[in-house]
Amino acid sequence: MIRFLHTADWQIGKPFGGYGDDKRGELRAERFRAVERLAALATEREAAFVLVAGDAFDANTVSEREIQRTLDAMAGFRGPWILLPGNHDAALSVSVWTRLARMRRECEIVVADRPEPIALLGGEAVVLPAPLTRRHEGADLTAWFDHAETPPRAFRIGLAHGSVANRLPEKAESGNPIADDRAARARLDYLALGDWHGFLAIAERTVYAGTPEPDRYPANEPGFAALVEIDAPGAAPRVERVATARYRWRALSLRLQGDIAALDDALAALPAPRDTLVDLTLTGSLALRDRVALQARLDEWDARLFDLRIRDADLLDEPDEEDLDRIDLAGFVRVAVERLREKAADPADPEREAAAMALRIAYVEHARLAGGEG
Amino acid sequence: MYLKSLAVRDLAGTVSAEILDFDRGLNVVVGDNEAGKSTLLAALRAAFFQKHRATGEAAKALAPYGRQVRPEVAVEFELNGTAYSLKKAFLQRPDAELAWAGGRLAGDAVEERLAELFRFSHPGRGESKLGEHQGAFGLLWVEQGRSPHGLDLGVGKDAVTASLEGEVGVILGGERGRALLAASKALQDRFFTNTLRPKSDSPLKIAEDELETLRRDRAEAEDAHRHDEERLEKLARRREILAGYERDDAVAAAERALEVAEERARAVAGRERDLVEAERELALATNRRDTAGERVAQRRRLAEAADRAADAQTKAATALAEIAADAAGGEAGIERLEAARAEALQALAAAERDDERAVAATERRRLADEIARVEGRVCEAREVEMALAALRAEAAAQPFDPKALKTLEALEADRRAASAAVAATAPTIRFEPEGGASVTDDAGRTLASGEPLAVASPRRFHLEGFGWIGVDPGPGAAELAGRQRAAEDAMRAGLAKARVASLDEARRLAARAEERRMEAGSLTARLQAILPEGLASAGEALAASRATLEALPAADEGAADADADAKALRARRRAAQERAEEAARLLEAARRAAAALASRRAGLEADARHRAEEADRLRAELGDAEARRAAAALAEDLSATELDRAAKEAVAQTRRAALGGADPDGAARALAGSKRALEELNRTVRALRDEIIALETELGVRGAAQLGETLSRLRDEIEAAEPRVARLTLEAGAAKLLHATLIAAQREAREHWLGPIKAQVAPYLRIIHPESEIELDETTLEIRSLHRRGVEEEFRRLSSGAREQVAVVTRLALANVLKRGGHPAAVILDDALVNTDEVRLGRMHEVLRQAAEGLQIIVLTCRERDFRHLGGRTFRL
Repeated sequence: MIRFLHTADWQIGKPFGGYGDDKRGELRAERFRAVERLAALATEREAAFVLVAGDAFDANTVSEREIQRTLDAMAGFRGPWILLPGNHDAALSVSVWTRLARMRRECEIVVADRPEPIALLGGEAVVLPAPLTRRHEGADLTAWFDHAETPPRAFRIGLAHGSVANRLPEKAESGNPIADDRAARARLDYLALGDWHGFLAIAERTVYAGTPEPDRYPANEPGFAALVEIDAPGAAPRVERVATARYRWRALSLRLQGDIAALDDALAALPAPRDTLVDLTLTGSLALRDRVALQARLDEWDARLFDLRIRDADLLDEPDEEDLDRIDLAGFVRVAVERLREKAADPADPEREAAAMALRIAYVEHARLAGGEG
Repeated sequence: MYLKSLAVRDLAGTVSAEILDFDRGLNVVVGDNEAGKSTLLAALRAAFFQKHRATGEAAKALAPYGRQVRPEVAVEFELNGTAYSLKKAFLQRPDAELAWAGGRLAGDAVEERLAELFRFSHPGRGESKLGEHQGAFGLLWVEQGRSPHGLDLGVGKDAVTASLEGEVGVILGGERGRALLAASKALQDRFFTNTLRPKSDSPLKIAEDELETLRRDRAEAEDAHRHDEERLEKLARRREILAGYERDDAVAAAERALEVAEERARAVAGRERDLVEAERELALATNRRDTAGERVAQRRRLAEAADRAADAQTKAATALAEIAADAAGGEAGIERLEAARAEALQALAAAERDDERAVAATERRRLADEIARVEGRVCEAREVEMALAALRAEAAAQPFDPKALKTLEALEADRRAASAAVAATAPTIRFEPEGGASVTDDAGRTLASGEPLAVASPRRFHLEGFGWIGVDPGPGAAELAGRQRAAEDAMRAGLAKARVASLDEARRLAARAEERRMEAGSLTARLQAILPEGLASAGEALAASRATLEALPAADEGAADADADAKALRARRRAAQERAEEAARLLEAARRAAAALASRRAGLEADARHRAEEADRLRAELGDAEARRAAAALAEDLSATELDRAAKEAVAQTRRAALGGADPDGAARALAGSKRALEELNRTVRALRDEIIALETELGVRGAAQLGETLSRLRDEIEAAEPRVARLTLEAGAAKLLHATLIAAQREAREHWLGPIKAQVAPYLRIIHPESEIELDETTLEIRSLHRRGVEEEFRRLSSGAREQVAVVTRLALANVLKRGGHPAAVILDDALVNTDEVRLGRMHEVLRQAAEGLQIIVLTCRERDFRHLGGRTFRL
C-alpha cells in the first residue's frame, strides 16, 4: 500500500492586480500558507511523496524571493516533492526551474522536467511525468506512458498538466490535451492531473486535485488536495478530498425587483464573511429610495466581507410617485425631474443611463438637503 | 386682502389716529407734513411683521422720541374671506391678539399665525433688516420717497426673490430648488469647468489617465514579454540546431572528407612533379637541337656573305673605271668653253665704248642750249632791276608817309569846323562910314567899307571922327574863337611834322608815292616771271652747266646722225652682253659637272677599297671556320640532337596525358571545398554555442524581472479600472445632465413668471407712456430698462418722474400677479408720485382707478389737490 498527496496549481506569485494593495498582499501571502498547510498535511498523514501536477508558479518570471519562500513553505514535509512544469511555469530553455535548481532547500525536490520515469521508494513506485516544455502543446504528451517500461509489481503513476479531452467545459480546453482513457491504456494505477482549478475525479483513476487555495470566482470546487491510497498495483485507488483553503471566492447573482431584502438574505448565509470574496451581480429594478437604501447595505457588506465587487449595470432605477413625492417637488425642479424621468424611461434615448443616474443624484441630494435642514 | 380699519396710539410721532372704513378699492389718506401719514405705514408693518416682544432698534423706533409709552396698533382685515381683528402693543407690556369669527390667538401664537397667513418668516436672532423678511409687502408698500428707485430690491434681493418664489411657488422651485441647483452645480464642478470642458483634476480624468497609463504599461510589458518569448523560442531553435550537428557528428564527417581530398591532392601533386621533370628534359633537348641548327645556319650565312662581298668588289671596280673616263671628257669641254667666254667679253667691251661716246655727244648739245636760254633771261632781268633801282632812288629823295596825309586831312576838317562855328556865332560888323571916314581896328589896320567883319573876341575899333567903339561878342564867341585858334595851331604843327608847306602839297606827294608803289609792284612781278629762281641762283646754275659741258669728252668727228647711231650702238651692246653672259653660264655648268664627277669618283674609290677589304675578311673567316669544323660535321650534329629531342617529347606527352587523367582542378576544388566546409562547420557550431550562452545569460537575467506577474497584474488592474472609468463617465454625464436640466427648467420658469408681470404692466404703461414696454432682469428682478417706440432707455437714466411712474405701475402689476395666485396683496403708496407732472398725474389716476378694480390701494399724500379727482374714498388725518 502506498499513500501520497496529489496537489496542483499553486499559482505562486499570482499578482491579484484587480485588488487594492492590502488585499493583494494578503491574497498573495495566503498562497505560501496553503503550501505550508499541504506540507503539514503530507507529514501528518505520512504521505510517501507529494505530486504537484503543474503550475506551482504563476509565471516563469516570479521573483527569487517568491521561489525561496515557496521552498521554505515546503520544508514542513521532508519529501520527496515531485514538481511538474505546467503551462504557467513551462520548462523553457530558461525558466523558474533553471533558477530553482540553484536555490537552497531543506527537503527533497525532484523537478520532473523530462519525460522519463522517476523511480520512488526504491523502485516500488514509478512516476511517469509529462512536463510541458512549452506553454501550449498540440499533441498529447502523456502518449509515451503507454509504452513506458516499469519494473513488474511497481505502481505506475502518471503526472500531467492539461485538459482531459471531451470531459471539461469547452472553454477550459485551451490545449495541452490528455486522452480521457490514458490511465487505462497506459495501465496506470493513478493519473494525477493539474490545470483545472477545482477538485474533480474526471475519469477512471484520473483526478484533478485543483488549486489548494482558490484564486478566482468560478464555482468549480477549488480549495482541496487529493490524498491517495492504493493497496497494490492494479487495485482501485482511494482518493480523499482534503480541504486546504482559507479564502472563499463566491460569485453571486441576485435579482432585486422592488425589494432589497434578498441581498441581506444571500450575504448573511455566507459562513465566514471576513474570508470571503464576493462577486455580486445585481439585476432587476428598484425605486430610488430602495436604490439608496441598497447602497447603504452594500456599503456595510463591503466593510464586512474580505472583498465585494458589484456588477449593477443591469439593475435599473424606477423612480415611482412615492420617490417623487419625497422630493419636495415644486416649480422648476418638478419640470426638470419629469424631463429626466422621461429620458430615463425611453430606451431609445442615448442619455438614458445618465438620466437615471441624474435622477438618483437628485433624489440623494434632495434627501441630503432635507436631512441637513432637519 | 382687504384692509378694513387701522387705529394707532402713541406710535412714533402720532398720539392717536384712526381710519375706520377703508374702501375695498381706492383710498386716499391726506395729511400735512408731520401729520403722521408715514406713521400709518410703519404701524401696518409693525402690526403684521414685527414681533410684539421685539426689543431691537426697529422696535424702539416705534416709540415717540424720548418718551416712555406703550405704542399700540389695531388692524381689521379680511383674508381669504375671513375677517380678522389684530391688536398689538409694543415695548411696555407687549401684547398681541388676533381674533376672527370662531377663533382667537394671543401672544407669540399670533406672530406665528401672521407669518403663516402672510407667508413670510421672522428674522432670526442677530439678523438685521426687517425689510428682508416681510415677503411681498416689501414690494407693494412703498415708503415716501422710495418710488423713483425702481423696485429697489437692493441687498434684500435674495430674500425678496425667495419670498416671491414662495408666493408663486407653483412656478418656482423654492429654497430646495435653489439648493438642489447648487448641489448639482457642485457635482458637475467635480468633473467640468464652468465652460463645461473636462476638468484636469476631475476624478474621471484621473481615472482615465490611470487607465491610460495602465494600458501603456501593459503594452510595454507585452512587448517585453513578446521579446522574451522570441528569445526563448530562438534559444530553443538554436539548441535544436546544435543538437542536430552533434547528433550527426558533422564535424568528424567533414574531417574525414578533408583527409580523402588531401590524399587525392597528394597523388595529383606526384604526377605534376613527373611532368615537370619530363618537360624540363624536353626543354633541354630542344635547346640543344636549336643550338646545332643555329650553328649550321650561321655557317651557311657566312659563306653566303663571303660570296656577296666578292661580287660587290667586282662591281665597284667596274664603276670606278667608268667614271674615270667620264672625268677626262669633262676637262676637255671646260677648256673650250673658257675660250668662248674670253672672246665674248672682248666683243662686249668694244660695244660698250661705242655706245658711251654716242651718249656724251647728245649731252653736250643739250647743255649748250640750256646755257644760251638762261643767259637771255638773266640779261632781261638785269634791265628790270635797273628800273626798280631808279624808283627806289626817287622815293628816297621824296620821303612822305602816306599816313600823315590822313592826319592832316582830319586836322583840316577840325579847323574848318571851328571857323564855321565862329563865323556862325560871332557878331558881324559892317562899317559903312560916311564921307570916307576910315575905320581902323585896334591893331591900326583899316577896314574896308561895307565889308562884313566877324568879331569873335572883344575888339576895339576906331571910327574916324567918332572915336573908339568896343565890340564884345560875349563869352560863347570868345570860347569858339579860342577853339578856332587851337585848330589852326594844330594844323600848322601837323604840316611842320609832315615837312610840307600845305595840305595840297601833302596831297600831291601822296599821289606820287602811290604811283611809284604801283610801278614797283609791276616791275617786281615781271622780274619774278622772267627769273623765278632769282638772279643769284640762275647765275650759279649757269656756272654749273658750263662746268659740266667742259667735263664732257670732245665730240667725234663725223657723227652726223647721232640719234640713229645711238640706238644701233645700244642694241649691239645689249647683244654682246647677252652673249658674254651665256658663255659664262655654260662654263659654270661644265665646271660644276666636273666637280660632281670628281666627288663621285672619290666615293667609288673608297667603296671599291672597302668591298675589297670586306671580301678579304670574309674569305679569311670562312676559311678559319671550315678549318675548325667542317659544315658537313655541323649538319650531322643537328640530326643527332633532333633525334634526342623527339624522344624527350614523347616522354613528356605521355606524362601530360597521365596528369590530365587525374583531374588536378577537380582535386584542388575538392580539397578547398572540404576545408571550407570544415571551417564553416566549426564556425557555425562555435557561433551557436556562443549564441546559446548569450541567450541563456540574457534570459537568466530577465527571468527574475517578474514580467509575467507584472503583465498579469496590469491586466487585472485594467479590468478593475475599466468599470471604474465607465462608472465615473456615467456620473459625470449624469451630473452635467442634471445641472443642465435644472438650469433649463429654472430659466423657463423665470420666463413663465416674468411673462405675467409684463403682461400686467403693459396696459398700465400704455396709459402713462404709450408705445412703451418694460424689461425686467430675470435674475435680479430689477427694472432694467424702458422701451419707448423701439428705443431702449436704461431705467436709472430716466427722469425721476418717469422712474416713479414706472415703479408704481410695476408694483401694481406684481400685486395683481400675487393676488391672482390667491395671496394677500394690497398696495400702499406713500407720496409715491411727487415728481409727476399734471398731465401724467391725470393718467396715473386712471391707472390707479383701473388697478383698484381688483386691488385695494391706499394712497398716502400731503397734496390733497393732486388726488382730488381720483375718486377714491378720502380720509384726513
